[in-house]
Amino acid sequence: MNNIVDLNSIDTDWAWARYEPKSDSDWSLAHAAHLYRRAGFAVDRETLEQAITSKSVELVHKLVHTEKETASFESESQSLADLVLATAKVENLPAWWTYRLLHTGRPLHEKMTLFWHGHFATSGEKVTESKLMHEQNQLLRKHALGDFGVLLHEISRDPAMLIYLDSVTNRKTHPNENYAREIMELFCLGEGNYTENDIRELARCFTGWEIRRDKFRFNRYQHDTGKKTILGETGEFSGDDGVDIVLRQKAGPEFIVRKLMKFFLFDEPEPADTLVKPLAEKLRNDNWQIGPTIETMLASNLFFSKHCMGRKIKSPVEFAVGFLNALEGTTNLYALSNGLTDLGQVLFFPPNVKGWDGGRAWINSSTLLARANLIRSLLDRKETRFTAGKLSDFFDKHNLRKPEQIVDWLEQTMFAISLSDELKNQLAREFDAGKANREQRLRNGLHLMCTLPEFQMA
Amino acid sequence: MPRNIVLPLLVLLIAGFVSTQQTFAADDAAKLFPASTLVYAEFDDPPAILDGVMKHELMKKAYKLDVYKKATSTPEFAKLTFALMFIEAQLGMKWNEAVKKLTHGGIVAAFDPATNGVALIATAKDKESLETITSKIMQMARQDAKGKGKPDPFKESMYRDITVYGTKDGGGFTFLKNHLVIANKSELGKQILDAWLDSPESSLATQPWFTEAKKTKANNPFFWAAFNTDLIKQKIEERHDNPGVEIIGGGLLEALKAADSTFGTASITGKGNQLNLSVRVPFDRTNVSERRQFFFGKEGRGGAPLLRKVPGQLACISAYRDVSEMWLRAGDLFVDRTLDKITEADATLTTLFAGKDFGEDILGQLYPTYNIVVAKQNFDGRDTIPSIRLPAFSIVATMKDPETNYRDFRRIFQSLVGFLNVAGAQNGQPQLDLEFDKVEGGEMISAQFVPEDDDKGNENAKINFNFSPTVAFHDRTFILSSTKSLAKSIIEMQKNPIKPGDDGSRDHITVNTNVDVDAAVLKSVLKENESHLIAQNMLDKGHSRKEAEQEISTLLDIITLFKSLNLALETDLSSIQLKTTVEYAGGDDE
Repeated sequence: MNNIVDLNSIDTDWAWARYEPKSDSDWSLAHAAHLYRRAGFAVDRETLEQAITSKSVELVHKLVHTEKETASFESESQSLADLVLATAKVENLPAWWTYRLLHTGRPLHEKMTLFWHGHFATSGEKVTESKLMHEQNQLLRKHALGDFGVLLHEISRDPAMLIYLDSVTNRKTHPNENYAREIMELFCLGEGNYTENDIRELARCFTGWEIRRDKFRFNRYQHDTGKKTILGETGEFSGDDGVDIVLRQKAGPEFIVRKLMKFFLFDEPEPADTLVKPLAEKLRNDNWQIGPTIETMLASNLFFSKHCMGRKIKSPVEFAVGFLNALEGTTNLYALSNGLTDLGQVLFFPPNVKGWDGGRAWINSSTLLARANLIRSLLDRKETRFTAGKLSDFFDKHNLRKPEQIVDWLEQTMFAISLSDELKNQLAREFDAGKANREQRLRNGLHLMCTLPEFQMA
Repeated sequence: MPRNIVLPLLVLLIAGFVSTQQTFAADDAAKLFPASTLVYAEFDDPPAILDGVMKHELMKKAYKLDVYKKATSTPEFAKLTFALMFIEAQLGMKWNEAVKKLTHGGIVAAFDPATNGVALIATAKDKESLETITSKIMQMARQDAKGKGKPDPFKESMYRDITVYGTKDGGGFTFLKNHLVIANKSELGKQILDAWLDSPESSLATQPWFTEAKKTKANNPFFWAAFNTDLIKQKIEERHDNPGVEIIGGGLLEALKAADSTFGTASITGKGNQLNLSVRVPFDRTNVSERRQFFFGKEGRGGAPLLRKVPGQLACISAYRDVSEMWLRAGDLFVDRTLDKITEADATLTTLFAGKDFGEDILGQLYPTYNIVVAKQNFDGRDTIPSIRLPAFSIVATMKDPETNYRDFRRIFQSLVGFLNVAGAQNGQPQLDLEFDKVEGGEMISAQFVPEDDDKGNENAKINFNFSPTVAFHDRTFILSSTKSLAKSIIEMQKNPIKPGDDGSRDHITVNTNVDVDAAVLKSVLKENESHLIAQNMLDKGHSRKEAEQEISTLLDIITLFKSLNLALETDLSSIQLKTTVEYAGGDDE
């Protein structure tokens, strides 16, 4: 991706000011689709058309402040979780989460849960107890847009996290430095904002924090009660004191905002300090409440500008779930989850403690082919249905009879980047090509469109 | 009327229900099929079958099912009914009358691998009936296509002065006197017409395998089929890679591979509330190869024990299998990569079984007659109830040296529980607590999972709480059970053994394997796990809750139509036969 403009030169006040569309072209289906792609996992056409009857700030406000899922959704989600947990196979958990991603009434909360899942990366590869992985996921969801400080405290005692970081025992004679290192380097401050001594001293705070029979336990006999000096503060700190000290560092909000900007706004370039600082300041002033910062980000001029629209590569989960959501699709969720393996992102199985790299790392010759194969397999599966029916019925329902209409409709609904007229004409011809029946031709055409480079962008 | 259903109805009318009163003798039909035919099938008296089906008690029960009522109240069904009425009006008769007339003389079908074609010949009551009914249906199909702006669905052409109607999928049909001939490949269709005109010297009817097969037809089945086993024989490898396949079907592989004849037959008969499907292959059980003696016993005389019966029984499998011999003969039966795994497993099992050789000292201490009993569990009154509620299962065998075997197995079981406790503790699994119970004439040693404090009263506990592993000894009987209560039930029933014939089994000496499944208990087990089945359906098929509930409810409804299923693998002096008996639920069963 080439930089359109040097982001350092952008007026910061303009960037974070509320987006106020001046004309219809400033608030179109493309803008609404952009919002739902980034703040969720895409939506169907009807939702997009309704969206443009509201103001952008109202939509963002609703996305951030939808407090609860419906009782029926939570009940269904729980029954699926019960099944998955009863099988005791952590490999079945991704299907449960994918169900949530497809049917949630709070897409931004699920998106943020995914963000925190990559941030506080914990893998079922090592934590094979599905109950623990499920509990951690629920914890991330509970605080997805809430108080980062509370989340950090709770994740520090989370059994799945501590098992993943080999920190089930932590004795005062041999403080385990794993968690202390990750909380500073990966979870809160970033490299260069602490010393090796800070890690050793923070590790002493966590002594006595143990996991026994899958539960957190504080073993007071193993806790180092002596004085510690961490990041310039000295005292007889406990583990919670240590977490609070980390949370007080100025570098913290900047580190989190920078990561959120890369997640929601653009893959490249690295966000400029001038853009990061105002939001970091806000996050600090909001006492680590994440929601208001996200709301500012998503309702901003920058978010709806050419610097952001179409400037991210879809993650595999966004790619697959977005495909189904846009086309009101359903399918075999076990197969879908397994199918994401070759694309490089399986929920509950991040590759390492750093989570997924994202950005350009999503795409290489192998994963690009895997993306095409995934769509093909989705379209070939008998379980894949569009509004509970065939693809031809789906297009008929939307009064899309001609190939040209279908291509235009798909472009508006599913593409972040406009297609050239020449390409669209070519695609329309492909929708009519071959001797297969209409349903098969439509599926072939749709598959072709989803393999385009443009479709990989969000 | 909905036009898109005319063509499928044509096919339904022609191929749906079948009959032959031998106006077109089977031998005549076989003369029309090519010598390369692999499978031949014929239906006797389809009008009688159709009448039987429509008036059967099972249909009356099906009409009462919710799933039937829901299906027949949909707009789609209303459209279908309307279309059917339209067709009946055009035909001037009810659809079932039309089917009966079209298939009055029976239906024969064949699959020919040389052309990859399937052909079907239906013999109508008379030429006039055939022409009247088919011409009207064709006319409707043509009007339907025309109305949709589509080309004529039946491309008319001549082949050796016979009018042939081609369909767009490459198949076609024609009329030969009062016979309707349909083929899905034109090449096969041509061969049938050539045979009709030329009466060639070689055809299916002249094949030795087919003439031999025909001789075995008996009891007037309403469906009878013969197949050439040559291809299957060629595909059976000397050694294969799946021990499961070997233990379940090794005998059938042996029969197919070793038989001099190259045919098999299948037939369906029905009587009262029973439907019997039988597949038979010629087989000389006295001449079983040494490596498959584990399956049939010496001279093929290894018989399964009687089926057992315990309260709440879901299924019972009874079989003769010398698994010790199979384990020790693994080198003759399996490919190298499987052998490597077996060798590895043998070493692990030998360690686990306190240094005793698994094949010789453990499996070899049991007679080769086994029962596997599966029964629904009763969770009432339990403190901790698992989320997924599995049926209990037991393996029942007879010890060769009860005194020594009792001591060995008892000790090994205790060691095993200790090992499981150590391994379980490392993985956060609940611990097992050993219990010893004396019973009349024997002893039970069981291990109960100990719930954590927060598991008490939990009705969504781990799957482990389905199990209370047990070994039990009663006289010469050894029971390895997933639960203590099932082991206890088996011992109690042992006091009142089933007499030969009580369980409906046939001559037990020749029954090699016998399986009995109770549909009512199966439904009850599924019903107990209904919420999980619905959830599984939602994840598996992407269904909404409503769709998933509908599908599971349909499954449960369908099971209520049946009473039991029995499978029996039997040998006699000249053949091996797999018999399946399905018993429908009677009119009073709900």
